[in-house]
Amino acid sequence: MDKSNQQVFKFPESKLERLKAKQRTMRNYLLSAPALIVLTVAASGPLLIMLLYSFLTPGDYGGVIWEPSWEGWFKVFMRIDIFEGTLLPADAHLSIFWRSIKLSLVTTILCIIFGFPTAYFIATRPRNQRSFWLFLVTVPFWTNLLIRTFAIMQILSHSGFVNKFLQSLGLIEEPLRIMYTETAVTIGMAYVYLPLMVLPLYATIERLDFRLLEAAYDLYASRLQVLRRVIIPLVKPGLVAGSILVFIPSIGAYVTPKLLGGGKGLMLGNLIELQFGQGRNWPLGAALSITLLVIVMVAMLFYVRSTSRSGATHGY
Amino acid sequence: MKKNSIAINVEGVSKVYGKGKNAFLALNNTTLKILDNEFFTLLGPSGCGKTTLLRIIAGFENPSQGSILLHGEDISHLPPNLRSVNTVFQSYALFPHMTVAENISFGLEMLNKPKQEIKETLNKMLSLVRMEELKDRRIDELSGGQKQRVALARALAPKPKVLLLDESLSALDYKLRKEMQIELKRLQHATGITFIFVTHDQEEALTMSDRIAVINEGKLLQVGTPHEIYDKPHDHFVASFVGDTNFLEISSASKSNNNEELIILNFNHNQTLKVPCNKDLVLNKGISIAIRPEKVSLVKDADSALLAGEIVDVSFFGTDTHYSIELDSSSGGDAHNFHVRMQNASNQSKHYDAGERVGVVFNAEDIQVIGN
Amino acid sequence: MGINFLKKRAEERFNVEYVPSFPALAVICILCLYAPMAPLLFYSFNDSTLLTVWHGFSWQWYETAWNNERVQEVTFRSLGLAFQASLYSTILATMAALGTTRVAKYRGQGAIYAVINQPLMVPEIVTAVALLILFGSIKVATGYQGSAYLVLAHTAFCIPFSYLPIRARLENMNLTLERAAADLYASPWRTFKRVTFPLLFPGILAGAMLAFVISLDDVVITEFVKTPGKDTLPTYMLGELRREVTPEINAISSVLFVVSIMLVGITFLISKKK
Repeated sequence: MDKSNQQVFKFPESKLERLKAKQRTMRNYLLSAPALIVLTVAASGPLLIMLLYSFLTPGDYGGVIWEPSWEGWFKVFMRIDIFEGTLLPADAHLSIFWRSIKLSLVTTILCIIFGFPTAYFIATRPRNQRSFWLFLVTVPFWTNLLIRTFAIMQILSHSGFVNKFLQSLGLIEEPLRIMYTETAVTIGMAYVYLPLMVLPLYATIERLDFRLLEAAYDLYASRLQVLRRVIIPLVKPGLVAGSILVFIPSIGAYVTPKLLGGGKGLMLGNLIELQFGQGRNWPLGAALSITLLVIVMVAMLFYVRSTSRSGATHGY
Repeated sequence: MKKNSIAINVEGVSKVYGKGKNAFLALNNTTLKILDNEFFTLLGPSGCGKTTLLRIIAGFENPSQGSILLHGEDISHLPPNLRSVNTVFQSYALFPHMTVAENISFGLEMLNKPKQEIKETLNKMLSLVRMEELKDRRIDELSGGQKQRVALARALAPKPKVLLLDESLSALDYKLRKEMQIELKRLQHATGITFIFVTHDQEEALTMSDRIAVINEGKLLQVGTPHEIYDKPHDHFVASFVGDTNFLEISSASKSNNNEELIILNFNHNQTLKVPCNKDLVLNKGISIAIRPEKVSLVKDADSALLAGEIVDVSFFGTDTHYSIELDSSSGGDAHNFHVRMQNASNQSKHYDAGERVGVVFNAEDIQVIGN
Repeated sequence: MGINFLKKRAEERFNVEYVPSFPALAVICILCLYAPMAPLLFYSFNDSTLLTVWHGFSWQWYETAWNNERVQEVTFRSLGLAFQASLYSTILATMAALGTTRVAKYRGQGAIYAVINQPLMVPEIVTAVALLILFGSIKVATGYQGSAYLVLAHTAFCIPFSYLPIRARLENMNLTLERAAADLYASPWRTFKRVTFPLLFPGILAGAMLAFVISLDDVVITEFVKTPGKDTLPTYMLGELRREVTPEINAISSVLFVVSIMLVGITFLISKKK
């Protein structure tokens, strides 16, 4: 369509109207101001300060010395071998980066595998039943994170439900060591973030036109083909939204890896905390935080680009 | 007339929805035969069960009783993806995430046809519905008529034995509808596939069909060619639903000796008409006859005609003139609003005015006896 | 031929929506969501200090938790904090919603929106650490050690949670009522008080409840911003979970779980009535 035709014809504004508009804008700014001030002081502003700190020198007992230094950023990626003085990648850090991304991806996939059928199931119930099922899925979501993580701790423990169950079936002799592993962290995160996958997926599936499925069956498609060729492509926006809603908190997880991961399951959040505690390297901690923020922004960018691509009209 | 083999055999099909007190009988013991290479229409008002029957043939509903046979094979409980029957849906149901070409090829891909064959059939279908240039367009860029054609091509591509069309022209505007009606006839002839067409528009049914089945409230009322349905409706509903009809109640009549004719006595000057009727017709129960407005003529001499009356309303329609007449005799039915349609064939055609007294004339062979 | 309407086939119609294995997976999934809570609730009644071996039924852990002074202290602190955060954030969010919704576009609107929603997009650990730095410096500079830091931090991250339901409600409201009031020469404040506010109230209530729950639940930011020794219920539990755990934690958790169910249930019932 020819865009030049879309110019809106504006009536010449009277002075009074322009003044009113200005007043209104002023009023809107003022209304939003208090919220913005609070957020700037206690949310956005501190991020900038942290960016600043990432370029300072670590103090001996924590805190910083107000001298510029690249040390923080350097240590995120590199280290110097104390014996040979050579420049090496910071394996410990990089492995934690890798683990965080890996576990977050696995968690997202697990949430899709279990969340998709669940969302689909709820969306295909009779209308009057749906609130009930949604209620069931929402309740765990509103339960405190600690409670849910604690529950997982219990069932994964040495004498917990999972081990007892497997032993009673005769599948294992000795209890498995699941706690304090990467697996435990993944299970914990999937358990905690599952509702975040189900809800947006449900919203998308509910709007699916099931007459399209009828057409597909009419045209000789098998059940599996209908899933692959019709259902999944059409609910992709929900899948993407759910994936982002799971991936982002996963990668910044702190409590779950702390309680379930032990030494082997440390993720980026825990590494950051370390720098402000025992590690006594605030600039490094700040730099790591900014890095985490960047990873999250990149993920969000993927999301925004994929929604705009699928939502755009083609041609005209 | 060459006898075609039977494509679809509907045997005693009933469909019930709900249970107990709330049970709704959508189809009541329907039996009919649809032939190969035929354009067959299911005609009836909304909610009459025609779409239910179509969906049972397609496989989306299961008959509560009875069976459906396709070329002799019982498909009553076969899922739709195993029946060689394709549907053009009322909403078209085109896949929005695929292009025109991908939509049309879909059925063939599901049947695992070789790539070359898919490509060839796709091109054939595109030229058949005249959509070659638009083959890579997305569905939301198409107009209503174009979507209709894609839906047709998509359903025809897998070469089904029967094609079902569920009121597919109802979303189109008048002119487009007329074009598509011709188009559909052409396609049916070109492909030789049996078309089963569902509509509530009796004019559409009459124009397009080889045969029509009239359905009302779940019951099959009559099956026949457009001529048969129009000229010889079996019952009150068919007569009034298809085209315009006048009904007259007959108070005095008798039967002929061989019981096959009805002798109607209540015309002026003891004139009688002999009309063929059903053997089982019972006299006391009140009989009606039906006569089409265009089969009636008006004459100036009111007294010597079969019936007489006064013209209440005149409507000029260009090609013909409609008269509404109040008949003298209190012969029930449409006596107060008797319709007559006369063609304005030439400038010399007689023209009558409102308030005029006229005579009404028609022939015995144009009357249809409607039972009780 | 008598038609027997009661004779039903196994299937009345072809089930278009059915996808093989989905119903089973869904039920398993929902069961798994609740399964871990069962032992938690179960063992809260355990008549022993063990968490995995059943000894007998007892209310002792509930009594212990109830009488535990530390638990009482942190619970009150959490409730007080949540109440304040909810109150302040809802007021600020309402103002901000009025200033950003249903108005002609003006410059900076996108940026304002981004700032308001920022807590939803930034991982909590990042904000927590940033606040640690900022508040740490202020503490050193001013010597102030009070609870204002925590209230401020909670208010901040609760704002987007109050904001979204209020904005949603505002967008769905019919402008004509307010225009009518304006026509009748009501001042903007009066229009707000008499027309806008009552209509907006369900949204404000939803926002306040949401903010309350979010504040009550918060662990990460609170953990880093709190004054050492002055815990909230979640941070207290976090501490306990890293030590020897007794079923007292089960008892506390069970109570919180039941409270969640009730809160969600109430919210669902309210939204149904609308």
